[in-house]
Amino acid sequence: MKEMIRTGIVLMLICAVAAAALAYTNHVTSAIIAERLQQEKEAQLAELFPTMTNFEERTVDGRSATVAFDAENKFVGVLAEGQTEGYGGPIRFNLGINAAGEIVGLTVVAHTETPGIGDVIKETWFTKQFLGKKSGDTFTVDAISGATDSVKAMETGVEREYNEIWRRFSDGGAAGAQDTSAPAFSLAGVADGTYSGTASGFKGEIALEVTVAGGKITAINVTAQQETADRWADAKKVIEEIIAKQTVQVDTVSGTTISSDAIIKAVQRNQRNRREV
Amino acid sequence: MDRKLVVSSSPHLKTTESVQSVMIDVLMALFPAALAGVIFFGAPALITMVLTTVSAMVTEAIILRQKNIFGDGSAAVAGLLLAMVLPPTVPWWLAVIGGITAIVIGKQVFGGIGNNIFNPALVARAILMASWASHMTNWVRPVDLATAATPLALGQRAFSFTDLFIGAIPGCIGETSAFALMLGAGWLFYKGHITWRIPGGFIGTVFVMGFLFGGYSGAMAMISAGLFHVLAGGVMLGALFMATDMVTSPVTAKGQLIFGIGCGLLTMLIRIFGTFPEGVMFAILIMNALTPLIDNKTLPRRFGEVAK
Amino acid sequence: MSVMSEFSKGIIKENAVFRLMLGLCPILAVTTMAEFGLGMGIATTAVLICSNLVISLMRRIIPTKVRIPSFIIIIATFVTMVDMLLNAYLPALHAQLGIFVPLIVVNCIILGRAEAFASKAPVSHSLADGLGIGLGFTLSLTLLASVRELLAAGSIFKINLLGAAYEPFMVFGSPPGAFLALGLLMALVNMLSKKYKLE
Repeated sequence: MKEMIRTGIVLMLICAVAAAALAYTNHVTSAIIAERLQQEKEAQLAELFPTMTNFEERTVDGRSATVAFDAENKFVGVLAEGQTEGYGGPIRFNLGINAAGEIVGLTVVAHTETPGIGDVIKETWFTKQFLGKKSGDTFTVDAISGATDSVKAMETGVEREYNEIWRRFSDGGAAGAQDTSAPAFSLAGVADGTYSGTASGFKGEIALEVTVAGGKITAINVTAQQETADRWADAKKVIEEIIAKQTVQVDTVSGTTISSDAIIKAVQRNQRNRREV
Repeated sequence: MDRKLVVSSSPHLKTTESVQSVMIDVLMALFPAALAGVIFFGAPALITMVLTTVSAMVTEAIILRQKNIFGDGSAAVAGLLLAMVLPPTVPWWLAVIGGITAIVIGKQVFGGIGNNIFNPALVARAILMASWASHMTNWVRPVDLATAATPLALGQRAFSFTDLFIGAIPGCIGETSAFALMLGAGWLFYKGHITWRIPGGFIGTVFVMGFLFGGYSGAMAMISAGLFHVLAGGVMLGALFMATDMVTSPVTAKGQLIFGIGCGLLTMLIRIFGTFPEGVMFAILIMNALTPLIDNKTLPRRFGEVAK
Repeated sequence: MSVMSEFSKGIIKENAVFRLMLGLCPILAVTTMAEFGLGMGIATTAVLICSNLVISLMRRIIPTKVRIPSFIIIIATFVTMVDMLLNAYLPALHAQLGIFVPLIVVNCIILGRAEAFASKAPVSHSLADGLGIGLGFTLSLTLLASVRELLAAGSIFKINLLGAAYEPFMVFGSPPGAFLALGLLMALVNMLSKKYKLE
């Protein structure tokens, strides 16, 4: 009996120490990992859409895509995943389309084509042939001897998926935008200092300066705005709420939806832009 | 023999047959198909055959440290068989690497002749296929050597049955001419080195499955679909010369039949449902791996043994 | 046995890959390029040294009846930490090694050394053992990965050695090639160590 209790206690202690060690490591690394993933996504989008400053995940008709916007919140492009049936099984690829409806990026993410023959479809020189194609173009590329079926699969697959995606997202996926839940907002790992950001308001640009200290927003100063005077006074309540709750998930003030939305967006955005300041 | 007395258990069977004499018979049997390859595909085919055969023999001689480069002849057979399953236009270095691979990885790592699990020539072909697929599927038309697709890729109507039978079709050096292969195999039957069971089971199964899976379209069309699958591609070469390899196929009569049918079944499954147009190589390699099991399960019962 | 000989035995005499043949699954899977072999080797070595140290320190505390669960908890903790740290600081290597980093937990070498050595030996010996076995493991993995990368891509550590005209021996980049390369290397190592009496 005594031995059993001793065994249990030792095992429990080992587990407790292990859990503590893991919790600490996770605490140190999780923010770095999350930030890297975000940056990777941003870098990928920025390469496809050079004017992109902001992006959002949107779902239209059961298909989700990442929709990119420029500094004036104008739609600049969409990145979505497509799939086609290849010679050896499904081929999955990422398709980037800009606001003019042209394919600007195509990368094969996963495939099971015959190694050495059909797998040319993943090569850059092959996918490059699809770039610049848009609605109404023929989606044919150079045939490759031995890989006829794989090439055909890509031709029909890219064309079909292009049409599916473009049909849903040619307007920036506005139908999917009702989802206003903000992207994850975290100040973990943000150095103390003052950051600035902007967003389009009801009448023009609203510029903000956000002061961060000890991982918290301590002050938000509006540096420029042209909103309707009495509405703006109400909209400013949003600022107080953001500081009080330390989140951008706050209620908008009725009658000032656009203005208060703009404030929220600007705060979110300067969180992203913080390394540029 | 310098020893006068050899002590061993019965039965005692005396024969003049040796490994070398069997291998020479096999080489002779391969001659018609090799000749057909040279006639149809010209100098490149001849060069490829010489390269694989010589590189296989030299590798074997070096590993076994023997002075006689021909040795028991098994390396020459492996090398020549490898050339038979290569496209005629492979680069010279690919043929040489193939010959070395057949001997080193196909044969000597298992302990040399008689100990290998897989057919050495097919092991080499599988490795070459996995490494340089584009060279290994670079088919050419006979005589003018222009690039072309194989009958299996093109479908039934592309070539006449006469062409398929005499071998005037794109394909591997030694697999195209059914006529030459049958001529050579006749010699092996005559010498008693192979029985009808493996080739019969193999070719029969391929025919029946080609007959059944071509879709219903009248008796004659279905028969020609079956014949097409037998004559196009590597079934004749595989059934007559590869699957019948003594080391890697079962020894029991029932086992040989099972082996042949298994090869035919797998070949057709790969051709009809698989990603590769041709399945003979993988079918034979897979059945090679099952050979010990087949032998074990088909052992004849000892006289007087009571059924379990 | 001195501390020094505990260290040196892991390099050839009890080499984890070529002699003990332990932990072969990740070896076959990750050794497609020299840098992945090296990275996997270092990650495994780090876990091995830490787990040997901790288990040796606790060898009188851990009850015999539950020693295997205890070892596994300790090893899994270090592996998860290495996984998180790699993900945070060396993302490229982490992405390539993928599932094989968490799988270090069930790598036979680590549990094998814990059970057969660290749980019975003093701390200094256990550290030397972990370091030696880990070094031998890393060297073997890097060697195997270099050979495969050279044949399948014509380069080692991404430095092209065979020129642009080289047509890669692609089978060595695929799983069957991993078996072939490991078997042939093992034969070579055995042959050489017999010849030069490195037993």
